[in-house]
Amino acid sequence: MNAPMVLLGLTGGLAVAVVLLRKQATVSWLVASTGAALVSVLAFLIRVDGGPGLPGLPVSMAGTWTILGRSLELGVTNRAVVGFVFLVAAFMFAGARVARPGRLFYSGGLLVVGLVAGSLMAVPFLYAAVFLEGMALVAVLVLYPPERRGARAPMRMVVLYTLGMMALLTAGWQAEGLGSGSVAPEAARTATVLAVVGFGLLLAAPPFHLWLPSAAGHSHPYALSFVILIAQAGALFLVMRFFDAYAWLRENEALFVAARWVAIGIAAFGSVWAMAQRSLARTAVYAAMADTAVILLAFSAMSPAGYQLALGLSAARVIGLGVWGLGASVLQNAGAGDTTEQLSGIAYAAPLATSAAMVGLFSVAGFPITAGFPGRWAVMAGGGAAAFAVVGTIGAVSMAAIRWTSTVLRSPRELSLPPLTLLDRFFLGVGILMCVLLGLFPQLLYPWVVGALSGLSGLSGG
Amino acid sequence: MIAQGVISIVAAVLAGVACAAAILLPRRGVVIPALFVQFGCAATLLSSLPVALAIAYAAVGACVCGILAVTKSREEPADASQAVVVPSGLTFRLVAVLLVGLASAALSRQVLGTQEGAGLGESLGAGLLFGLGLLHLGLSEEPLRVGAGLLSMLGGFQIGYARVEPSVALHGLLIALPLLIALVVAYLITLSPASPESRA
Repeated sequence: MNAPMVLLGLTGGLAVAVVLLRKQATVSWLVASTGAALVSVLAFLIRVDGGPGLPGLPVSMAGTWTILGRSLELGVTNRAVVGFVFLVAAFMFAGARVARPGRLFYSGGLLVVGLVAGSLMAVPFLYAAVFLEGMALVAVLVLYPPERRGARAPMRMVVLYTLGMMALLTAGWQAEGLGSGSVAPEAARTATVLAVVGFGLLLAAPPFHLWLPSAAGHSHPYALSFVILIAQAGALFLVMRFFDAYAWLRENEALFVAARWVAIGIAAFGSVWAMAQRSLARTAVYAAMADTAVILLAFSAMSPAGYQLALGLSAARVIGLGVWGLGASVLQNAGAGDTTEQLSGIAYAAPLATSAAMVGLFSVAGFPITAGFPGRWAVMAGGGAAAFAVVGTIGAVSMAAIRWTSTVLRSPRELSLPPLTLLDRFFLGVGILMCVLLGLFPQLLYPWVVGALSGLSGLSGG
Repeated sequence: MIAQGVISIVAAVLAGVACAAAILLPRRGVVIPALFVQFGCAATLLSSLPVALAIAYAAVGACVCGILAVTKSREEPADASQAVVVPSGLTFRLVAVLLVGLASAALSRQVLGTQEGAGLGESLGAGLLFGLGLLHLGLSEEPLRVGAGLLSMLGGFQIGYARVEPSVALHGLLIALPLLIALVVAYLITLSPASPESRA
């Protein structure tokens, strides 16, 4: 028995259990959310290879699971990020009781998070790309359960992730020839370009974002938030492991400068498109794209503090996007719709759900006093072009959120939406509170998230 | 050795012809048999892998075609919002197939030809499947045809990657991928209304 086998076995077992219990909504919810939380705790605290672990637990497990000469490993380099991904899943599964994102959400979601965890444990880490491809295939079931029509987005997503996987595997082959040490940028040009294209595809950076707006039009908002959060967390950690492993990549200053300008371009694109949308889900998707650009801006600082900030921002977006998804789902489930016309004056009929959707959107925008702001403040403190880009992004996406706020507050309409249950009110209220609380006290979130970087000695400078 | 080289060249050409047929005649009755031929040819071209893996790839291909063949699409009229504006004339497709086929065959020889032990058949097969698969993707919108293009492209990639990557575990994962893709495509076919051209 070894730690990766235990974590992935538990995840698979939970997915099977949820399928078997699919007719009992409450039990499925409890199994998925508490199960994912348990796996997260195990990933954080399990004693691996005799190292530090859960106090009072004498059992120590092997950290390596070898399969056909390749292995999955859980150790100091990745246990924090593996635990983080399961924690995000537990957080999202908990809210799914209220959001009701579709009948395949728990089982498909558990498989998605299991595959992302597998990608984080894969050694050599380049094989993570294959796990992420598998994740994209399963994510189709989460985004398009049988009760929803697929349109073109699911195949676009699968195609783009497949191309990303191919680009990264080819980059890995090139990288093997270069080794992990310092190499002249000219010699590493092909590998660098392939890696960058692969990262762009996995992070859904324009022009590889095509599946996102289409998914926003057809998928349940909560399922969409879940897939964006988990998939992009997996992609971000893969990027970090790539840079950690290859000195020729992390020492290439021109690459970081290029990344900064690409991020500024993505931020401008996402912000402008967020302002132009007449669909709430699409606004949120483009806001999330601008958020990814801010993460990239933090990363492009080429310093351990910048890398830590990128991780912190990726944690903060979980709160913002999750709470937006929760609010938007409650509205959509009640039949309120998604467009400007449909949501006009909705705040009077569903104040709590509308507030959650708006607060979540403001948090994704990075508006002050929300969870998304402290990380942006830290990026702005670095000065330079990145600071101006962050200010512009906050301003533009906040304008989009303000426009939506004015839409939902237009004159009241005759709407009869079903009343919220006590549980709905509790989750929506807690979501709003978390957004504000983590905006006021970022120290509750950032320190332990950024600790995840300590295992990556190349990036943390350790 | 010479016989093996001839077989691999024949397999590569056959794979390219099958892929081209699927692009030129985008009917269910052509696309699925063409995929079957492609998988068989690609398995022949995976000569650098252990024989068991090549056989497994052929078996996966048979399963993929079986899954797609038994999947019935919904017989509802296609939604107007999903209307597709993709060039679809036979002449256009023929010219595109010829151009892309020639370009990818030439490029693959340059890229893979430098690899030790890579024969003409392997590089030709990899290039044709990858290039024509990409073209198929670009010209298609319905799940079945996009899936067919994706599987062709993946087949081309696998032939080339088998030459440079020795890991059996990774190739095992890559060989299993078409099966997962086919399952997702079949699932999406059952969700999407049938379009006139794929019903034929």
